[in-house]
Amino acid sequence: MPDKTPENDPREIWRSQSTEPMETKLGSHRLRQRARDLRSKSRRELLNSIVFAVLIAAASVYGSIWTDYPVARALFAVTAAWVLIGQFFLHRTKRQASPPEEAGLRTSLDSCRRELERHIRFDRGAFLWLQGPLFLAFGTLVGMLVFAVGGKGLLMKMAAPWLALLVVWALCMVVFRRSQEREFRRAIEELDQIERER
Amino acid sequence: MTGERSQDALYADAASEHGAAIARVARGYEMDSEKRRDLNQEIHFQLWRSFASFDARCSLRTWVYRVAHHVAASHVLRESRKLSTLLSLEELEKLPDTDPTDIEADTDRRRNLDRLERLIQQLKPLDRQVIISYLEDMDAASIAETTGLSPASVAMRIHRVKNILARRFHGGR
Repeated sequence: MPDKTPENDPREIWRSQSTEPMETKLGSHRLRQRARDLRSKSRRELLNSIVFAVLIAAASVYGSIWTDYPVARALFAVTAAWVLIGQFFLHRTKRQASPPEEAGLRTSLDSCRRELERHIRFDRGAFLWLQGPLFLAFGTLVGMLVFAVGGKGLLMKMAAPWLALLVVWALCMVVFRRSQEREFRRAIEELDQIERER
Repeated sequence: MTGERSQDALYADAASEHGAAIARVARGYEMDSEKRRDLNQEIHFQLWRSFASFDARCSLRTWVYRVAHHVAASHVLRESRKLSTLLSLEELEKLPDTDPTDIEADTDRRRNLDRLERLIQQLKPLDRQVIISYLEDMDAASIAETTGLSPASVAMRIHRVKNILARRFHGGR
């Protein structure tokens, strides 16, 4: 026998749930404090990203000065330029994040699609402008080591498992990123499909 | 600072009128109580920020729900990033009820609310918004305006929501 008492009416259950008074409003002081925290967090993230890029660039410049191999020198120079230029594109993508007022102007269907597209752009940017130069720098270093010892000797034997681990890690990153992008693209296609049904 | 006062005043109005509904939206998107509190505060904060450029092109309620669901859906994307594990209403309607809680014998509100939250959190963001809006007693036209779905699409989804809830809470259709 179906039970239709108020205790089992989903709308009644949902709407009568208790909420703490502090859950329903934030005071003016807290809102402004949170705005200040957000600005500090953004500045901190920007600084961290720049420091990380400068460290990779500095290590690459050091490598290019130290090495005798012209190809390695060129690759290190490319790494340094790549990671520094990448900062501009990375932070441009971050600045393009939808401000909250746009969410109020747009329908949820549109907001959802834009958020998914933003995630794809951001993940792709992080891979292209941060992880890419890092892989190139490590790859150049590994290539130099292998070339220097001629693929033989104790150094090569000791380094081989770590190099293999590095290659596996890089491959896993690529596979994971691609599968996540596919998942986001599928979600966008579903939203497009819903829109076409209108 | 008229703009600032107006932003604060709009937020105060929205929070007093829709604060409880916002807290319920947060519950529909996050099970963990700590994370839910953070999400709820984030919605309030983003809502306050959004009122800096509110131009009354839509109603206050539509604006509040759009911002709230946008922040909550972004939270889901950021936290889980496993969209493939979430279901559409159509998929959920076809699934057998696997929740171990006995509905017939259980009249405890807290347990029923947990059950309802678990059900909502299986859904994809847009369908989650539809079911939450239905539970909030919004009419189909308002749901269509907030979500951007066509009235026919909203009607079909509400029909599915009713079927799912009837099967899982009333023990039949």
